[in-house]
Amino acid sequence: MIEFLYSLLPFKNPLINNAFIAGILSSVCFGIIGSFVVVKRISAIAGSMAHSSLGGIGFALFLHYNIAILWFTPLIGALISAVVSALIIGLVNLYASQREDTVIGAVWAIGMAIGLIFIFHTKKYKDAMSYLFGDILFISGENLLIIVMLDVIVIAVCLLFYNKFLAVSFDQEFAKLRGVRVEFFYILLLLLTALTIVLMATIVGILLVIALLTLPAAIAGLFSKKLWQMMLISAFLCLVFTVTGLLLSYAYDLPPGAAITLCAGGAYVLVLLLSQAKNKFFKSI
Amino acid sequence: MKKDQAVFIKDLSFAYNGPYVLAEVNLALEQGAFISVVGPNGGGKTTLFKLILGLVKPQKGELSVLGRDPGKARRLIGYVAQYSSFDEYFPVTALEVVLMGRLDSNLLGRYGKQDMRKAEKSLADVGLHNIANIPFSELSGGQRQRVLIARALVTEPKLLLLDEPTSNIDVSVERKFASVLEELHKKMTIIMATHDVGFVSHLVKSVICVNKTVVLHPTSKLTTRIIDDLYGKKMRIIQHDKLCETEG
Repeated sequence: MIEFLYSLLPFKNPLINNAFIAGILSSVCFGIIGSFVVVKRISAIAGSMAHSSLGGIGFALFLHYNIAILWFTPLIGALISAVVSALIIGLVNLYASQREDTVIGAVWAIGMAIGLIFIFHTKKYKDAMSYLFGDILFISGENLLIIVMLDVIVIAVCLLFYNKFLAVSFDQEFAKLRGVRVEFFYILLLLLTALTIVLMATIVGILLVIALLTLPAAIAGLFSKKLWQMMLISAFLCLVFTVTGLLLSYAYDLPPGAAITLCAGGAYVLVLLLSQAKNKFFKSI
Repeated sequence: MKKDQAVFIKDLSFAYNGPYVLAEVNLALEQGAFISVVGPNGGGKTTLFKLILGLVKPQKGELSVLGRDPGKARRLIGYVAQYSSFDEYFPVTALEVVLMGRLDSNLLGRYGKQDMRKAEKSLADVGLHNIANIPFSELSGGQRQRVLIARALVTEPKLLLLDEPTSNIDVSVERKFASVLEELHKKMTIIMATHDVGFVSHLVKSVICVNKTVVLHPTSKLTTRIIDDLYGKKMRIIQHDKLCETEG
């Protein structure tokens, strides 16, 4: 399967090929989950989960280099800590009636602090940069397999419960009155968001991943009448930004995470300016 | 608990996190009635609705809705909230919003052909058959409100709770809305919170005045004095003149 995909790509280097494949595969998830994140306005929660996943990454590196536990890879560490953050933020929001933004900020910072401490005490390995800003060297064939599995889970769950997710995102109180277990779907949405973020964090890094999650969806929202249209357009845009960014980084020797983020950010600013100009133009005639 | 009563409340008190919002409430509303709920903002109208819906639980007293526990009666209630916290740009069409009222028709929340037909009919019932595929965000305030009413109707409720449904509707639409309510009233009990009973005064049989306590008045006995007492100051008589003339 992977060999077949390699044969379609023009690059000799399997690492670069992996990056392209990972980007293309994750785009579908990003379109779906990014749209939910934007319309439900939980991008701060998503940001918190992304950043705090450094905790799990640091722990995994510590185990790897100090205790030689090799199966606990940084990807697994990131997954676990993103899921834990999702559960903490979700449950506190639902049941503890604390200020939401304070909880988000706390999880955000505590996760990163834990990660830093572990990385500081990891032998030989002192550089957190490649996790913060992404590194395509991380994408092994094994990781591609995990990405495919997560992709399938996210897409299946979202397709299956599309109407319920739509109702919970649009009007939680009404959904509850119709017998939807809104608490369950809220937590489920946070968990799927956590999985999705970790997918792409390996390429663009945990600091920049939030841009790739929300910007394509924000652009798509301007052109969509329905949520599923927003998801399709945003998945397509995500794919375009990732591929363009990777090509630019390959051609001009740029860090891929930054190149991808700037593609998305540039397009977002451009679209906003154009839509403002269009509104002005229609008002003037 | 009485089966034939839409709402039965005995010695109920409720507080959020402080003093009682509603205290020592007693109320019995017959099924099939059209009841208006009036009272100042913050007087407890919305809280009364949330209690009936089972969204909040009373600290003291009894409450049954349609002869059941409030939480269990929930599916038989169509509810239109006063404020809704939608994302202003949410990509969803009017028809899709109405369809949300059919969410519990099966386990996965898939909509069948019958659900579609019922949703289209509800939209037609509120006079909006031609905007089914328009995005909700592009509708006017009054149209949005009617879409939300259609969403409540498509649940085929026995009891319809409307919390200030006319606050965003202009007078011409209000008249159309009154005739919609008249039709619905043949099929279900309606409880409507409002500052302006005038436009449905010919339908309303009783008025509940909510201001920490709850008092039920037949409309024939409602005078301006009662309203003044309730709001604690002189109300502009124009707002309630139709109500006070009405013979119940």
